[in-house]
Amino acid sequence: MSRRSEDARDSLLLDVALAGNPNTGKSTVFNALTGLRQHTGNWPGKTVARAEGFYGYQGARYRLVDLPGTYSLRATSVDEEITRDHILFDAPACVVVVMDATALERNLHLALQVLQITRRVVVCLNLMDEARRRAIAIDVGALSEALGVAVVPTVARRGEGVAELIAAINNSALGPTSTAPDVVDVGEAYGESLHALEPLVREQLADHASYRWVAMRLLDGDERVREAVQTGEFDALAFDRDRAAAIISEADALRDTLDESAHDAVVHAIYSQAEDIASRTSRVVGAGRLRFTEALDRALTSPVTGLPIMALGMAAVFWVTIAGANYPSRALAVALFALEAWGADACEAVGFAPWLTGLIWHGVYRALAWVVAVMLPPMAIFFPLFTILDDFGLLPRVAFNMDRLLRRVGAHGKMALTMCMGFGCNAAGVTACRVIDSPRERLIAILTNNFVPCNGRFPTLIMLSMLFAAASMPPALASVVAAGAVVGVVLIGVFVTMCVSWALSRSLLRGEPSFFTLELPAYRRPLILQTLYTSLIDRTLFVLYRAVVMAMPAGAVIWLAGAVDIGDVSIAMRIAGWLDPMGRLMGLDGVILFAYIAAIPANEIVVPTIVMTYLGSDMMSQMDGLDDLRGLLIDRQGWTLLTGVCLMLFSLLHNPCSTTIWTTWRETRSVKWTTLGAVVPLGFGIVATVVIATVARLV
Amino acid sequence: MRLPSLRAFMARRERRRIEDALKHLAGLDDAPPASVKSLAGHLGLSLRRTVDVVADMQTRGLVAMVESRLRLTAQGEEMAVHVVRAHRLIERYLADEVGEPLGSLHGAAERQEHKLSPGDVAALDAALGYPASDPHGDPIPDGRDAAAGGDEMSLYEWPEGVPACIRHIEDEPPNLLRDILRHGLLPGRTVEIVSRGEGVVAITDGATRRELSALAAGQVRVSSGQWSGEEPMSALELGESAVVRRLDDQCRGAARRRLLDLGLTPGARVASQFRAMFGEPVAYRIRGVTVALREDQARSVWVARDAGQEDEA
Repeated sequence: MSRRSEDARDSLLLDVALAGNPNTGKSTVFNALTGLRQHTGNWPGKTVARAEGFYGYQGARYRLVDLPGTYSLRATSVDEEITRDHILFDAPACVVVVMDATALERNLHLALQVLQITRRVVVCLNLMDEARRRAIAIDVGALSEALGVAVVPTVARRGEGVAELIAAINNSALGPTSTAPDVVDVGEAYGESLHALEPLVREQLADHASYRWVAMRLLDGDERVREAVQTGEFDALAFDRDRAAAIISEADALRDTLDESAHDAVVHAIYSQAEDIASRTSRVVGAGRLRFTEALDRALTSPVTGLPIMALGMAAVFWVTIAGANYPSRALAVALFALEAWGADACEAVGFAPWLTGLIWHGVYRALAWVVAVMLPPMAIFFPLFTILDDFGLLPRVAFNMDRLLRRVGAHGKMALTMCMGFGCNAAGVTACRVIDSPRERLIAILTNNFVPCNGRFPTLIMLSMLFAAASMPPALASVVAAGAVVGVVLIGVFVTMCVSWALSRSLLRGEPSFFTLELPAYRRPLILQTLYTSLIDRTLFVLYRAVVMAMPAGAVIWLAGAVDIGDVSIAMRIAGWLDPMGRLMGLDGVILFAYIAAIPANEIVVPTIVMTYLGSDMMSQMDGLDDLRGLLIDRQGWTLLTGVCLMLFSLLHNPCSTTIWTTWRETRSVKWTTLGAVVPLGFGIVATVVIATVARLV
Repeated sequence: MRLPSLRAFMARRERRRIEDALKHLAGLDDAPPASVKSLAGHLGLSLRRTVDVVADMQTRGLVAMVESRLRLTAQGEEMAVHVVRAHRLIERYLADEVGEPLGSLHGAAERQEHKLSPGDVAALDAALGYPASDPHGDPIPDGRDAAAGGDEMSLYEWPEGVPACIRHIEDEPPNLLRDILRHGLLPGRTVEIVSRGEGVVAITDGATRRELSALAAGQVRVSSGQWSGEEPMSALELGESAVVRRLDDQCRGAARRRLLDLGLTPGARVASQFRAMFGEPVAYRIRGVTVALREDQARSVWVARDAGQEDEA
């Protein structure tokens, strides 16, 4: 590639890929380079997030693709496959390898592999501040010389070195490149085979710089690379079918002669080279120890202090979420419902038919307003808090501590995190299961996520417990009992999660928990503002959008069911009538079951739907305060403590909302698992409530 | 969904019976002669049905009656090797790539072995990197011969105080196999008998002393071994450091690649840092990074202690 003139560069779009180990601050580098010009999606056909962003430099536009964090390019996991495929087949103009300056050896292992594929590489030596704190001195010039590419030291969280990085990327993408591939000593047996195969591959791939790497992958039996050689994907022009077939048969014959130790030798060789480079270019000056990290790790992993710290931490997150969301939720509700009244009046004044006004404002709009008011504030608090704890490094320790317990039931330690995420929103929890890298445990985590009550169900739980506690106890005691009841429900949810995981891992998803790799990075001060922004965009608005899309049609249906009469009775009451025998059997009634069916799109609208149907009016929420509710539900509709208990249980154990069902399908791409994920909780709920109601009636 | 036809079902059942019969006959080739009666016992069929199966096999040219004994023909021999090969490769696959526990491999392989064509088997062999033995330590025949081990004997008969290398563990019956695996005994490991008691054999794997029932010890085939000064990484106490020697031979496939990629290659220094709240996993310092590993993972990394300096950075 030659230098282009300034004019031509106006329209130039250059692809840059960002690779690196996990926990190297890769996404911080990504944000520092692209700012807010980014969007996220999935890799085609994969459930791995892909972030893409843009920036401009000297008239050229750069498209930056954030690759998944990986330890190698040997394609053991989907993440590694994606990274390998992108670097090899999409051939970006430059690959930026983000390295953790405090762990050169392991990060060099990946960098050296990337360098075997392409020489258009810039090494971004990130976390230089941590390296300094640990008294690690790195000779950047020597490192650059050893690797043969530019090395830019950065502290991405403070923006240090980012300008230099942008310039280095520009140079690497547009400047001349050295083509000499480095030579790694891969051991005798492997070396001989490689020596025999390399010339053949080189001939076939012509000027593709990575022939040596391709030959190595053929010897390792990499299906994708093999296929690419066979179909001429590397170099369509010089492609020769017979020569390709000869290469493949030669590679297979050579591979047959290699045993496991020969393959190990390749990894060993790269690590030896990494060790060599690291020892030549860095040294520890003085005693740089991570006293804070060590002390905190000791405290967090001791059973005496760790459990209380984790429990208190969880409690604090929930308290901040619920207490903090309270006021904005009310303010939003007042504002949005005021708009509804105003809008309905305006429509009537203009002369809309009453049914149309009702449908639009009291049906569709009201459901929307309700979901936004109930859902937005807690999520806008919960998700950033969660991300901050993750960035700080606390959540990996929680997974670490919980692994033993979860493993007993056949699950993965990281399921503790996806369960916590489920408290915010089950759909987000299901998506979060991507952090679990082994397929079986990931599926268990997805299928059981619905057993933790989400933000949409908490208001129902809290309201019910307050209602019944306040009805029978003095106020001081009532709130304690109510809080205890909610905690009890959560614990039941956790217990059921464990039981179902255990059952799944011994029936449909049999087998030992397979891979477990969990890195415990040093604690880092989280980036509050950046976290607020990304978790707001990535999770909160995304989930809210889906919920709103689902809730609006539901609002229309509920309004119509309440407003349209067949005979003398509304459709809602009629359906409730049909469901009543079933409802009674479960300790509930037909109206509650109807509300749960109507609320499949969003659990938030269960209570409003119940109230609306009881009142028999089109008013979805005309009740103010607990006293009104108590008057309606307990005094007039005859709810008993049994109703309350069964309703709380059913609120925990029923089918996931449609957003979660849809997300489950998107994550598993399987009708079978999606159906199972929906039906199992519902079955549990029906059985549990029927048993409790029957026992209660008999006693 | 398309329901499999009755005809296909019958054909599959027939194939399964024939192949099971072949395995039985092949296993007893040099031992006491297999008879229709022993075959019936093995297949769990009535004598009459078994005669039908044998007759069918005869018409297919798989067995012949030699001096009133059932013998495999060359063709039958070849097919038997195919089934055994399929069985062991499937076990290898399930252990390496799926992560199935050793105790449940045999049953799954028993079912799947009849579904593979010779082409499938060759492809599976290539995909797994031509492994030499199955997870129980049995050699995988490569289509030419299925040689058995030479100077092996059962662990129960092995002399006290002499290091023995485990060569093979019988995969049936499953409850005995599970019992053996519970003690962490795997092909390739070195053990030594400490003492013998009433129906019990006390052994040591270098780090811990374990008691094995005589019945279980009889299931383990060993030959003479050697202490290497290596011990599993899981034996390190908190704060201790060591140098990685190798990964266990039984740790293969994706699990092995993972550990290698984390930097657990020969010569790497590791240090045990701290334990999780309930004792497991343990956090190890590997090449400047703290990584949590479960006990069974740490057990498959063989390390050697050196003049113990407690350097964790």
